Formats: sequence, structure tokens, C-alpha cells
Amino acid sequence: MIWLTWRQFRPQAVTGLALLAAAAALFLVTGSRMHDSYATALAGCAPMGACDGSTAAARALGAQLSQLQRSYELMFMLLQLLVIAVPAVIGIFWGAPLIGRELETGTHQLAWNQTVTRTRWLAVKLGVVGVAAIAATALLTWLLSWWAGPLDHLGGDRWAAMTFASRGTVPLGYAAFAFALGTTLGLLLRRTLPAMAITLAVFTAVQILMPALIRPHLLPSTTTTYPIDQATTSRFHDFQSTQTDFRFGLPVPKDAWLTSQPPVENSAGQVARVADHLDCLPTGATPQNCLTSATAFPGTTCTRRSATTPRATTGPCSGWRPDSSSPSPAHSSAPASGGSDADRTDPPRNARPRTSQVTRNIVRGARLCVSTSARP
Amino acid sequence: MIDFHLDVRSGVAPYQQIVRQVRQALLLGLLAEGDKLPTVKEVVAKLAINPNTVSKAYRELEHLGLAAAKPGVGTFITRSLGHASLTEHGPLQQELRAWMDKARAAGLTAPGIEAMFQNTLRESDEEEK
Amino acid sequence: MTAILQAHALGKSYGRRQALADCTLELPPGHVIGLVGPNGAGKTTLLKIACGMLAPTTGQIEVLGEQPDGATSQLARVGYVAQDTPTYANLSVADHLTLGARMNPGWDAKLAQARIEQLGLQPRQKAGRLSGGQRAQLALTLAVAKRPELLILDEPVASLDPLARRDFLRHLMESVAEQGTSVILSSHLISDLERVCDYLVVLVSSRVRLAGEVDELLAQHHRIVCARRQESDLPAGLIVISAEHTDRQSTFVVRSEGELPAGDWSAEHLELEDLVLTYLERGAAPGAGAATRPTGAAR
Repeated sequence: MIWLTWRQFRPQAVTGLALLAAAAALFLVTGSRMHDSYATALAGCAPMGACDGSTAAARALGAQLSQLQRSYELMFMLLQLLVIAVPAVIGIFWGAPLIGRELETGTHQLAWNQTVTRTRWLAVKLGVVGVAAIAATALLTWLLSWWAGPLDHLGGDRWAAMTFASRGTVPLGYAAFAFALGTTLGLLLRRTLPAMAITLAVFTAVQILMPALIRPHLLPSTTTTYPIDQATTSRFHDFQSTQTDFRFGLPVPKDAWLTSQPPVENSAGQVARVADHLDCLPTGATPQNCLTSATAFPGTTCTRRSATTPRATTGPCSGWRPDSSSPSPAHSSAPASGGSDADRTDPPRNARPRTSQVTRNIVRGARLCVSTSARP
Repeated sequence: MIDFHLDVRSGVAPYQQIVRQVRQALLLGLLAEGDKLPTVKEVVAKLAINPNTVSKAYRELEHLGLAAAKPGVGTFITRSLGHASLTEHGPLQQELRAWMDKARAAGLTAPGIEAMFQNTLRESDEEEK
Repeated sequence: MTAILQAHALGKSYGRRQALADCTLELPPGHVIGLVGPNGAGKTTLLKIACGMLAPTTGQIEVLGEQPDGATSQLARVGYVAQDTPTYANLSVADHLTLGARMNPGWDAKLAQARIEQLGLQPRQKAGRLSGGQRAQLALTLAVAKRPELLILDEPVASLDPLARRDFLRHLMESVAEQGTSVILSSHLISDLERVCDYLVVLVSSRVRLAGEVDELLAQHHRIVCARRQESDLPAGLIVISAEHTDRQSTFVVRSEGELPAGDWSAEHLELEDLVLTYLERGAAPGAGAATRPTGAAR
């Protein structure tokens, strides 16, 4: 039975291997070039201790790394997309025909009348092709993780939809899911082509709905509220104002995923409107000072609704972060000027005790929801 | 060795057709004592018919005392029916010819003569069995 | 001699649709059995149940003394060639033989090889590029070379041209001659099967209308033509299968257990096809069929 499964699967396996080899070559060639540039830049930092020093040489190195990050931005996105798409391709071309084609052409009747039980027939088919599906995806995921190592260090967002779906064991799970989905649809529809189409549609929908609607609720979220006063605002980085309201970049614990952040509210629980604080817009004084010092609005908070994690603070170049002119891909909305200054002077955020913030900072209406896997 | 043929439209059981063809071959002198009949497999391969049919026909021939099976060798003719070939039955043929002339004189046409001949033949056939 | 197939009140339904209902049947071993009936009579369903591919919803069935349940012990003993003789289009002829060898402990590689050579099939040819006849032969080879005790073929020649049809049946009969396998063949046309079957089952809407050895069936049935009369005027012992009347003449198809008694009629044997058609017509008529009983069981 294993022989028959392998023999039937051989053309697809050969195609898959060829594509995998091509992808691996692409990863290795472009990846080794990028790793080289990264290593060279880091080597330059070593004598200075860190790359975000204030000297001209350090700034030049920082710019160099930002340049590196920018030049690979598109390819980075495409390769992540590739790893996300591979499970779909597997589901379509390996899963859907696995049983669907047998039922479509009636060959299951041939197989079922050899001296092999149907249970074994199904188990071997699912086992052989399923393991191949997961193995192929695992190899590709591993290649991407290696490839993207430097970029992840420079400004990766662990929780961004594409990053999350293309790292670690997540693609493996999706490969198993897509394979099972394709196989099941083939079995139910008894036709290969419709099964392929519906597999694609369902898988795409799941890839969109999962990060948008389901993933944020997989773990209970933690809500942290900050008063806006001199003590806390010094720890805020980034300041943004939309047409109507204010948002601050609030500190987020390492490995936590910021899932939502409502706008700044005043002590009455109303959203602080830009129109009432025109003088706070970052033309003169820093908005933090403005909002906190305004006696008329004690206890306001700032708001940003996005999903983000702390910027990378580990790795060989731990001191360096991209400056405001080179935002990380995940951090697409450019922070307003002024945010970066406050940022620079911050101590490493992950060193801050989390618990104290949660207990201390309670202001009516202002919410920072942090979903985290690590207990405070 | 002789060949068999089969007419599935005749309404005559296939095994009987084979028996009849062996009898005919014996009468015509195409088969004689000691001749080997084709094996069941040979007949089957030629006619695409059921081997049981051939076996049944051969059993019938044995039952009639016309053939005997030698296990592992084949089925052989044990008795000749026609000691002389048809051409040696000149007088009989002349009689038939004379009868046909009479039938024509009585107003029968060829199809009529044929029908009467076939009918009579079948009746006598069945009686003989 | 135990029956190769014994079914009692067998039924299969898909939701509300009855594919087979109340089918009772007993088939003796050592025959090439023709299962004839119109489309939708339940032939395919019956055969699929017999080889364990479908589970009946009601009734019992035993094939070769065991319930067909898809277990390997039974799979090894029953060969099945499905309708339209499916084969793996992108596998070669040789691949199919390897498949058979790997998946059947009782595989007869020599027999399979010999048959492929005899058929003139190129081992490297893809099955998808074979003609219908060749594909059917390949499927038959797979079924035969696992050396089953019973070979079940569902409409094996329906889609073949006459030459391929004859060729297929010839090879099938050779296998039967060599191995003594019992065979069940289905068709909606008796003309497909009349040369090869020595046992016939006529199935109309799941019911057995006629069953018995072909030779006996042919001997027992006559068409008699006589001056117009009622069925009741015929001698006792004659079962009337069909009756047609004109103003002067009556034509009956009758069945007699022994010799046909002499009478003031002209009698002739029916060819098998006419015989089967008579029963099919009768089976199709409303309320018919209750009187027939399988004669096979009597022996």
C-alpha cells in the first residue's frame, strides 16, 4: 500500500521537491548576501559597544542597517507570503486529489479490491502525504526563519499577521490544516477541481479571519491603564494625533501582543479631542508635557489602536533601534516627530516591572489591552 | 482436429450444438476413431464460450459412447459413425433428388421444400435422441 | 456444495431512495453466472454489497460462506472488476502489476505476466493511453492474478466495441477454464453474456424473475402457436409466461418441467435473448413476478 501511495504521489512529490529546491536556492543566495552585510555592519558596532551611540560613526552604521532593512523589505514580504501560501498549495495539489481523484475516476474500487483493508488504504495515504506536507512546510519555514533572522532583529514584529503566520510551528499547523481540508473536500465533493477551488477559498478566508477575529481572543487579555502625568509620560514613546484624537506609543512588555488601544480620554471618560488641545500639537512643546501640565485636563490618556510588540531589544545590537526616519515594516504609520526623542532616553523597556503599572495606573475609561502569554 | 462454431440465435443449447457438430463431423468422415478433440481451453479460446459448456458437451459425447476422456491427455473419439463419406451415398442422394423433383411437381417452391426438409429432419433428430 | 452467494431479503437504501430491496438469491458454485436486468434493477448495488464495498441496510448476505465486510480474508478470495473497468491513468501497465503483487499475498506474477504478453500490452505504456478494451483486460488481469475463488464483474463489456467484447470474454473464459473460478457477470443486455453464461439470473426491480442453468432454461421453455384459446385450455403442468392473442391465433411462451407434452400446436425453442426479454417484460408489468421461483435452488 505504501508503494502504491508513493507511486501515485510521485509526480506531485517531484514537482514539490523541484519547487522546494528552487525556493531553497533563492533563500540561500539572497540570504547569505544579506547575512554578510548584516554581520559586517555589526562588526562595526562592536568596538563602540552599541550602534546607537551618538557619534557620527555610530549614526552612519545605524543608517546602514536601516538601509539594509529597507532594501530587503519587499523581498521579505514576498518570502513570508510564500511560506504562508505553501500550505494552501499543498492543500490544493496534494490534499484535494488524494481521495477526490480516486472517487472521480472510480479507481478506489480497484484499490479497495486488492487484499488491503480500506482503513489501511486511508491511513497510509493520509500518513505518507500528510507527513510529506508538514515536512516540506517545515523545511521552508526553517529557511525563512534563518533568512529573516537579521530583519527580525532589526525591527520584526512577532505578532504581525504575516510574521506570526510564517514562523515557528504555525505554518506546520496550517499545512496540516490545509492538507486535511483539501482531502476532506475531495472526499465530500468526489470531484478534484471543485475541491481544489473550495480549498483555496476556505484556506484564504481562514488566513484572513484567523489573525483578524480569532487569534486576539485565544488568550485572555490584560488591561493596563496609565494616567498621563509627568512620571508616566516620560516612558511613552511616539506621539500621534489623528484628525480628532491623540494616541501615545505606550510601553508594552516583551513577548506581549498589543491588541487594542483606545484614544486618550479625559478624567470624565470622554475622548480628548484634538480641537480642544490645538496647542498640544507637536509644533512647540512636547505633547506629553502639554497634556499633563494642562490643569484643565488632569488624567488624560493617549490612544492608538493597533497590534504591535515591543521593538527588538535583544540580539547582538541590542542598544540600537531604527530612528524615526526608518520605521520598521510593521510599524507603518510614521510616528510624529518628538516621539523619538523621548524614546531615545528610555531605559530598556523590558527591564521595567509590569505589575506596578497595572496596579498603579487606573484611570477611568482609558484602556490599554495587552494580551500576553507570560504572566506578569 | 476440427473447429467448432456456435450459433447463439438458434435456440439450441450451446453444448448440444457442439455434440451435433461432432456427430456431423463423424458422419462426414472428418473425424474418425482415435482422433483427438480440441481441449476445453482451446475451444474456449476460439469461441469465447463457457468452459462448462464444452465440458458438458464432451461428457455428453462420452455418454453417447462417441468419445472418451484420457485424464491429462485429452478427449478422443472412440467410435466412427460414418464408415463411408457422403459422396459414397450416391443412391441416397439420387433418391433425395427424385423426391425433390416430385415436390416441385406437386407445386412446392424452394423455400417450401427447405422448410419441409428442415422440419422432418428436426423431428427425426429429436426422435433419435 | 455450498452456495457462492446467498442473499436473504437484502436491501440497500440511500436516504429515501431504494437501490435494492428485498432481494433473495442463492447462487451455486462452479458456474459463470449472468446477472441480467434493466438499468436500475439493483445489479451494481448487489454486486458492490457482495464484494464488501457497500454495507446492506437490511437483510443478510453471505459470499463464499462469509459476510463480506472488507476484511482481508474475504478480499483475497473475491475479485472485483468495477463498471467501466477503472485503472490508474498515470500508472503504467507494469506499475499495475507491481501494485497487484504488493497488495495481494496470493499474487500469481507468472500468470499476470503471461496474460500481459498474450494481450500484447506494452509494460511501459500508461494505462490512461490504453484503449477501452485493453484497459478492461488490464483490470481483468489484476482481478484474476490475485487468484480469487469468485470473480465479480460489473458490466465489464458494456462500453466495449464488439471485437474487444469478444476478446475480453475469451480471456475471461480461458481464465475460468484454467483456474475453475466461479464468475458473476452483470449486464443489461443478455446478448453480451449469452455465449459465456451457463447460469442465468434475471433481476427486475431487485426481484429475481428467473434463475437457473442456461441449458435447462432453454430446454424448459417453448413458444407454442395454436388456434386461439384461453390459457386455461392448455394442459396442466405448463406455466404460461406470456400470452398473445390475435382473432384466430394464440401465441404462448410456456415453461414445462419435463418434456413438452404433444398437442395441436407448433412448438419451438426460444433463443436465450427472447426468453430473457419475455421475463423482463413480464417483470415490468404491474403486479407480476410473484409466481416465479428460482429453479436453481431446486437442484
